[in-house]
Amino acid sequence: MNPKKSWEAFEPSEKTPWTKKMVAHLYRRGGFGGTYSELKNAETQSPGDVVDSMFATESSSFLKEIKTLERQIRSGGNVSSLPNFWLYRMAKSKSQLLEKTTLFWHGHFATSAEKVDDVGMMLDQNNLLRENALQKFMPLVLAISKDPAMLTYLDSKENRKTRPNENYSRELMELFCLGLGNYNEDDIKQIARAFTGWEIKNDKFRFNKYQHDYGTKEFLGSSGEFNGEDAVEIVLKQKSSSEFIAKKLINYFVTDSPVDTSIVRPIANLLSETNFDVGATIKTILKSNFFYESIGKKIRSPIELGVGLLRTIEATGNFVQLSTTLGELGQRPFFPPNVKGWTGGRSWINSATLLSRVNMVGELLNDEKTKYSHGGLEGLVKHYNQQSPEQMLQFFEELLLARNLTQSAKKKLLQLLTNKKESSENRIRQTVYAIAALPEFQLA
Amino acid sequence: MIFKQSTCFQFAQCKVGRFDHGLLIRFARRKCWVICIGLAACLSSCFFASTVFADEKHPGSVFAKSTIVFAKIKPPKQIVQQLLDHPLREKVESLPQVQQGLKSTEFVAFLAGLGFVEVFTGESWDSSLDILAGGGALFAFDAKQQAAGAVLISGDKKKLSKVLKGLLKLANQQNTETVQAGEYRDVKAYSIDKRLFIAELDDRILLSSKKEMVKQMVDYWLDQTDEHFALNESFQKTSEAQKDKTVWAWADLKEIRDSGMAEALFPKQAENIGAELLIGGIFSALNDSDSVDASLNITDDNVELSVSMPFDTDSVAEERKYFFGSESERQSFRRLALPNAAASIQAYRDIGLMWLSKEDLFGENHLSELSQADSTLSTLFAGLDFGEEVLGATKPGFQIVARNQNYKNIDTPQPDIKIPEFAFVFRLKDTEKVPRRFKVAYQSLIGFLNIQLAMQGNPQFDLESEKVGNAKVVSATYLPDDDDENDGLINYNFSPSIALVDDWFIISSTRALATDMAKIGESGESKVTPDINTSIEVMGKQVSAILKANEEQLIAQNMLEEGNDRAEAKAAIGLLLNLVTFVKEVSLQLKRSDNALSLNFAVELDALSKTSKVNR
Repeated sequence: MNPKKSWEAFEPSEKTPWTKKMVAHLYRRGGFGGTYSELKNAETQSPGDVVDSMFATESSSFLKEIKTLERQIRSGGNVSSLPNFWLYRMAKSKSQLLEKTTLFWHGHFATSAEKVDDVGMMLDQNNLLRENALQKFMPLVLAISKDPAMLTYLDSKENRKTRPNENYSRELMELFCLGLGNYNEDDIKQIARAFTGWEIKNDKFRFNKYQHDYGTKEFLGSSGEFNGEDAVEIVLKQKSSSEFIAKKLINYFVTDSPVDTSIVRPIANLLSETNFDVGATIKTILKSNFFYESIGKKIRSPIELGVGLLRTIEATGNFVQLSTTLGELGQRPFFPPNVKGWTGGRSWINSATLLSRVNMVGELLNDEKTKYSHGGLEGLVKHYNQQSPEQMLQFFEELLLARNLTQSAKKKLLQLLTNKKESSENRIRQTVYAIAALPEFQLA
Repeated sequence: MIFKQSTCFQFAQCKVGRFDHGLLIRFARRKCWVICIGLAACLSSCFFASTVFADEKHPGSVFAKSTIVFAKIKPPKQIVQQLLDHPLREKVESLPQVQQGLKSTEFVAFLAGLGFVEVFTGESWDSSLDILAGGGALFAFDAKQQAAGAVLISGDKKKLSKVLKGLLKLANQQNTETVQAGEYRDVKAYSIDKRLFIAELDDRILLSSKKEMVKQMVDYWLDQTDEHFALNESFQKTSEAQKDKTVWAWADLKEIRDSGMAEALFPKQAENIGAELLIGGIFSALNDSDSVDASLNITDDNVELSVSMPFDTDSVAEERKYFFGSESERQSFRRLALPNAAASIQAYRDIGLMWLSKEDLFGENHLSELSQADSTLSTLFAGLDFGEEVLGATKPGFQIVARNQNYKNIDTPQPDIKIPEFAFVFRLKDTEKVPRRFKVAYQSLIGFLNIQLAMQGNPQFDLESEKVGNAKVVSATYLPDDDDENDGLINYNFSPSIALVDDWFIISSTRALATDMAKIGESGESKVTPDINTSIEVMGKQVSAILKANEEQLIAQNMLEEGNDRAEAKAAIGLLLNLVTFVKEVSLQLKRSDNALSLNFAVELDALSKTSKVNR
């Protein structure tokens, strides 16, 4: 694999044309899936233009709607409504890339509402992640270092000069910026001193100058009377930081498999050169040859599966129930399992969750609260003028699957689609449910 | 059924002209309604309807002595007509959401179903209904047969065979072997899918899911035995008085109880403390009474369900004495009438006595919880025994009232979620020592809450004591908070207060309600209702105002639970708010008389109210 060529922008050719399947891949990875009309529309544009359009900002009417909804969630004061609220936003938002990247940062700066138990703090953090999701990384790390929800979660609400709290400085390097092996215990102790005086009082960050250690600190090859801001800057200057973030972005957007350092390096360089411009980096990733070579090389997370299905079949449903189901599958937003966030990849699937993942699809398809924009799946295929069983099957293959169906699977699915004993709607639902039971459906 | 009667008829006529067989099959496959849709419609209507009996034989004589449940229902057409002529119909139909529903595919399919009935019977749907069950309907469950049976009494004997045949033909459309015809004692009989058995006997149709049950009904009717159900004394005693009701039902409780059927209906103990407090006395009645009768009556402005059991309330078991009390105790039970209350509950309960009888009323799991509560509450009341000295110091009977809050006169910011203010009212046996104990317990509780609130960074309570007339009011109001982030906090719904006037003690969620209740207590305008054991009232207009005040929260909830966008959610909540305005009052009353216990549930409609807003 040629690293340079891998990250060059994908150019459609006769051998690898720009198809609905490719667009679906882009929308699945850069969001939670696209509708058929979105696929058709994007197919007429260049891949680069489609990626650029994914950075468009959200409509003001939707933002107003979300703001009103958020106020109600805040006044309710119940943390269990948080996942419902975000799932609603993920499913309805036009800024799919923004929501997908916010979810990435939520897993990266994992904070659980279970422990924080404060709706306001969790929503503030979520908004912070969204505001910075596609911006520069350093302001995000600085803001997170002062975030009440994060510091509450890491038991770092107090950090006194006589007894520096090492929790945050450890996570800053291990989980947020550098990764294991790129720092030592002394670095943790010294950085903890730099963060002394950073505390949370009455649910707000404040700098307590009386508790700050103004002495000289030595860490990661630097020495000086550093404070918290200096510490973040020095940590991000480490060569390993750009590689660490680049690797995580590649794993999130491109592939679950380990990626060779030579492939990571150009993206790490791009991060360093752009002063950690996350948006620009993601744009490069989504436009690259490597990205389009990775179709079907990731396992869908439960959220991608649930929200993705609703979006692609142009339906909406009971987000309270969806949130509960996602919890059973191990990915309830706002409730990551621990400080490391969700491991992702193969960890999503085991003998228990595989069946539950298929059942979730069944629940979403048949729940009485699921409302289809076109009245049902029959209405959906009719809307897009898919008349024959073969056309319908191809329609769902393009829409739902990253990998092509095998001939034997196609044959069985066609049998379902032509089963005259069932109503047309039931036939199509059973077919979609059967597609969900295929191993191919688990891949993105 | 809010569509116009002519719609289906026109639909039927149109279909007769160009009958689409494919449509029928598609319709049948989709809804499975074709299989005796007419009969099913009649049967289901039967549950809402009573009988006009014109025959000399008692209609109930078709059922055996072993009948344990019996119901009679008014002619369905009368009920349908009542609904179609209802003053609310126009208002409901004019709601945009209902207009949309009338255009839905489900409703069109329903109309198509009626259309098929009209095509196959050759009569309009309402005429078919009248021909089949214009004389009313009866329903019974036979313990010996372990089967239910129904009788539809025709309104037009001459056309009965034609309509029935039409419906059977319709049922046979999908599969010609669905309907099997035969005879029993020269009576025409049919089976549908071997799941429903029908006999056409004179002017009536007999139905059951068991063949033997239909045979037995035919035998009883033809043989005129003296062993039939209509001779049951208990049934006879109650049936005459109920003949004008829309639906009337009777059940032989003793037989049901003794046979061991439906054991869940006769619990000795309540599942939880709340249930015991609310309906514990009904459990006693269910386990003691021989029969129960129920009636449903529908008029233009009222829907009323009444259940009555013969029961001597003075002979209840010792542990349930707390529920009914003695005649003199009931006479002294009073309540305060709060104007503009959104909801109120008043109940005669001697809670002190209940607490002392807890070992006989509850299972082990609840007892441990109660012991824990006893110990905690005794601590709060500075060592007083909670059962004997605290609850024992109260007179039997309590009242809970709730009303919409007025936020204009409070200093704190308005909360986003607006909770109605509520108060718990009772009377004290001792007005000297006990009130002071209660006051100290209240102060301790507020102190404890303040510590909790401070730890959470929330605003704290400021304790105040004042005299309003002769009433002493102690209230805790939130100190206004400088932190803008706390604006809209749900906490601002509360200013927990207590008030004491004469022997009335009021615990309220707000100072305003405590003060108002104390003023009513002081005015001496209390009501005595010795026959009403329990009463729950909910007022539509006030509830509508509460819902309206929380419209944004309801919209948010709808968006998340239904996946609607804001406009859709607003429309759905708008419909709910509109529907609530049609209800004037919902009430539930448990009444006792010398020899009976009756439960009445009533919904009073605001059908003619000019204030009901149809279009929002």
